[in-house]
Amino acid sequence: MEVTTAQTAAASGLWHNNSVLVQITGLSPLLALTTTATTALGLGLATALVTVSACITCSLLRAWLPEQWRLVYYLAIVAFFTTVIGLILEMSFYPLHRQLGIYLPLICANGAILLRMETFSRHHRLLPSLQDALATALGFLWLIVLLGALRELTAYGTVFAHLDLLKPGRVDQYAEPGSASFRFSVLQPGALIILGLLVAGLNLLNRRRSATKTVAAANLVRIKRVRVTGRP
Amino acid sequence: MNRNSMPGKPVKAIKSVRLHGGIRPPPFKTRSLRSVIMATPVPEHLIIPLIQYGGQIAAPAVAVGDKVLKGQALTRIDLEGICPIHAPTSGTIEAIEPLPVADEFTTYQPCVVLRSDGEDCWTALDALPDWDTSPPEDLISRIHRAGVIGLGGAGFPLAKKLHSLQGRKLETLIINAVECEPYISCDQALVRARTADLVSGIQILRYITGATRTVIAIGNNKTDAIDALRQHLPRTEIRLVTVPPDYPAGSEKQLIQRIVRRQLPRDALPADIGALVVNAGTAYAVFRAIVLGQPLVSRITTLCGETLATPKNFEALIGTPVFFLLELCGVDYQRLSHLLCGGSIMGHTVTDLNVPLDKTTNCLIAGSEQEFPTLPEPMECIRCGYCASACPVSLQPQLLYRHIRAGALEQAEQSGVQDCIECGACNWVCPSHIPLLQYYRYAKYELESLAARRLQSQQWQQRFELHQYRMARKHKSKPQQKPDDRIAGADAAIPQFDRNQARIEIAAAVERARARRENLIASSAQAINSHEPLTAVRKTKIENPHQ
Amino acid sequence: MLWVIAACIPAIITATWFFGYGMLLNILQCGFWAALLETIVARLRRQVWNGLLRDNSALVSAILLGISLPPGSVWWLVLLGMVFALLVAKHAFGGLGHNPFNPAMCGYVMLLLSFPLQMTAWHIPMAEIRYDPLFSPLQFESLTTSIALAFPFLAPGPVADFRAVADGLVMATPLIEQKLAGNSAVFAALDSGNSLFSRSSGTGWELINLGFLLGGLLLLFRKIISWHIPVSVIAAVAVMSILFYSDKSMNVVGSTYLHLFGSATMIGAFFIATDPVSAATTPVGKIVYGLLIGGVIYWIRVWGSYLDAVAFAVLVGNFCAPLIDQLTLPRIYGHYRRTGPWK
Repeated sequence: MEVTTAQTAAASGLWHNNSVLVQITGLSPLLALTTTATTALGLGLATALVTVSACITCSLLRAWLPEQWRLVYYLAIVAFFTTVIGLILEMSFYPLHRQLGIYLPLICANGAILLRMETFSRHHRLLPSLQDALATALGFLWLIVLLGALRELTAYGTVFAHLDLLKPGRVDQYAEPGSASFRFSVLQPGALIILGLLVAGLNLLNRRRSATKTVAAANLVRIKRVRVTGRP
Repeated sequence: MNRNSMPGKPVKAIKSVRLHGGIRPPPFKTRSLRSVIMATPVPEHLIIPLIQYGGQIAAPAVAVGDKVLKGQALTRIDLEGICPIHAPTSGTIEAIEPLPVADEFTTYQPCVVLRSDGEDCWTALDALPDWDTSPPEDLISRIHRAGVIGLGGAGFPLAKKLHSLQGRKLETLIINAVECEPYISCDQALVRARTADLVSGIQILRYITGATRTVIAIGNNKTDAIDALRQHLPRTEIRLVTVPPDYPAGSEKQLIQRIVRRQLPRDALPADIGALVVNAGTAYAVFRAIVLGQPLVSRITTLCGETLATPKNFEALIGTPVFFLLELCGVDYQRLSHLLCGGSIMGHTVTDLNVPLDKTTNCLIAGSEQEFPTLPEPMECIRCGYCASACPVSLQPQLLYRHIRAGALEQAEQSGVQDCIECGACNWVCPSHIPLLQYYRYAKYELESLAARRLQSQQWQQRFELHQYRMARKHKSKPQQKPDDRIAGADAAIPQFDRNQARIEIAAAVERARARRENLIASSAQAINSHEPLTAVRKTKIENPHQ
Repeated sequence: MLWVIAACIPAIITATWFFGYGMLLNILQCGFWAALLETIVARLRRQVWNGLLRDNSALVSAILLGISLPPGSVWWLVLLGMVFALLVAKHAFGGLGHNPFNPAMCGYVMLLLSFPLQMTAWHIPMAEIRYDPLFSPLQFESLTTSIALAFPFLAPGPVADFRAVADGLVMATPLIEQKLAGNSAVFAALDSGNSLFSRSSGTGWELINLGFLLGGLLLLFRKIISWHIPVSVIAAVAVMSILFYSDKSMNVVGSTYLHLFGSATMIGAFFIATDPVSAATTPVGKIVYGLLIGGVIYWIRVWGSYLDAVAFAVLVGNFCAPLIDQLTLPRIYGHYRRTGPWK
């Protein structure tokens, strides 16, 4: 998959090779933290920042990355940026940081980021890598926010109810979400099922758009079957 | 089935008493058993198929226009493993040509067409009433020359089966008169009507094999046949064993397990575990072949089905057209919708009424639409497991079906699809009317072609590697040239372009090509005319590409 | 499938006799939604619509869900459960024969996880609210109450919510009530000369379970189901409860009798775990599957946070069924050992 222009890179990252919808990577934060649109947005932004900075770094350092130990270096790069972002969040966005909990450090184990570094940034110059990383990050972001919004909507009937979590501020401003009216979509199985429905919707759209029409099987010859064991 | 055992290889025993599965379909045998066995009149034309067990074609020993007598061999008798075929009546050979036969797809196979002269005159017969004085090898060769094959269904040559003992001692000789499939009643009719002859045929087989134990197995609902045997058996050492009328109790594997209480390992022959199963009809044919010297020219076959006015068992000549037999029973062509060859579970439909009766046709069912109604569309499998409890070889048909539907043939193979004996019990019990057996046949066929493709690609690779090796060797043995010299020489070779010279060279090249082509055509024509296998031509081509 | 429905009838009649029209109303509702949803699905999947009559499987799912829901459940709860059971758990996986999980139990678990309050609010049997031996829950008043509970918009006035009374008092099954602990209410009623069917005798749940047992035996007798799964489920529950029961213990573990007849074990063993599509199918596999379900039932009941665990246990069993099948393939004729990918 050779991305040449910014447009195709964007289309690929946002739609055709969306890291969630198509590649189904990075599921653990996706399922755990999309209970509300706000936390989803927070995590999505953090992941996006890490993705872009890690991919740029990887692209810049590509001449010095040893072939055999590259995965270790990837992890080190991602962990570095994750730590930086975690520290920033802890300093200025403490409520959000507390909400994200363990899943913030876990960004460094996100398969989608490692995959981009391994398959793209390692082989490309700065600009294409930046394009690709941005597309991937935005693709992850819109999907995680959509999933969060859907889950929040079905569970609590609101969208972006606690947006003030994203404002830099003090600890006591945060209010816990109330008890869900439809608790199922707060739970992980519900998240998986909603994600499954989204993937199904994507497949449906793609199939509608694709021009190839399969020949209808209506004119297949029906073969008559016979019971050969006497009366049943 | 896997029959790739090494001769004389010792086989580990699988002791198992309990038989698994089986079904009990309604027998539908009473109508055809009302009358005695009737000999058919000789039809005007007889069509004798030359196809043999395993798809081999017997080489004809007669030519069109020859006059033959009843019992005269139509094919060469000296070929190892191929049973000869004999003229069912006296008359003239009218043609040797492909005609439809009663196989699974009613294909065209080479047949001898014999026009009867109405005399029905036997050739000189070599009868041997005191068989117990001649050596068993002589008897086996007589059986071979008489063209006796297994009359139960598959048609495996009996002489070959007896040879599979290879001098080993036989523990149990099993005469199979179980006949568990619905509709078929020819063995029952034979046992109750020709008991004495049958018993003497069994005695001959016992003498040949030297079996320590001889058993005749029969379904316990065939009371008349059992009574007839009870009258004849006490004077002999043959034991009578009655088996429940389950299907497929008469299948070779199931019968062996029931009687010797051991299962037949999948890579072994029955002889490897000291057992041999011979059909009752075959034993009777042995009696005729040895004691009377008559080759196998007729067999007992059941004609039944709703559209026949008088279903009965016929002693019919091999090669009698099916329509001739049907008309003898008063067939109602208006109602005839399915003609089945074989029993109602394992039999196959025949689409041409001109097909002849061959040695393995044990039953012909002329069924009506009411008798064999069209099945509804198959529904989804709900894994009820009825098939698994019916399977006589303990497969899990519902899992196999799932694998095959998913295209996971390898997994189906691992779960044992190759061990399916194709008895059709699963089809019979399936409440969703799924054609399970057809799925397994498909899977087996696909696996077979997959294996063939794999083998072929292996051979290709091997050939390529050999080629590589030869090239490398050739290159090594060549004296090395200095690269600089070669380039200089090449430059010198094309100094300037000469039109005339070029024309002469082109003409010479065209001539060479033409000669080569003609040579090739001539050699292949010669090869075809001299009936050489085509591979010989290909071989020369490959070996001398620049001749 | 019709036999399965027929086998449910004794238990349904008993339940109605003791607890009023609620469960009947549930089943009718479930059946209606099932018919509607199946029609929609057939349309969506471009199949020929044969309704419920083609295989009745949706009807069986509807009846099982209807029995499991608290009597007189509100309509949207029932609809949601059926939507999840039929659309997500069954047709999203390819329809009948392709669903890896039991649809009715998927719907039930989804509802239990989402609406714990509504799903545990079993309306107290009327006979126990009014300690009046002559009062019958089959009276017209009871029917109107049930309808009003199920369809609040039909009720003329505010519905008297029994939940306030019932919450914490009555559960789906008397498993933790200890009322039946250790001894049988049926025998107690017989000993004291009470009528078994008098609604104040306290024999309600026991008789319902006996009804399921009767229906299950009918299914066994008709060879609709094989003995392996029910026997092994019941055996596992019985053995676990015998091993762990102690009347001196402070924990609520319950006696063997309570586990078998004071809970949902019977319907689970005979009607839910035996659903052939999602169960294991090899002979040994069925026993392993049943033991697993029985063990998990007891495990969750006693050491878990849910009161009754048949639905969860059956789903756990469904998860393991394909693996169990592959590991327990029987020895094929003529093979020296068992076959399978791991052999």
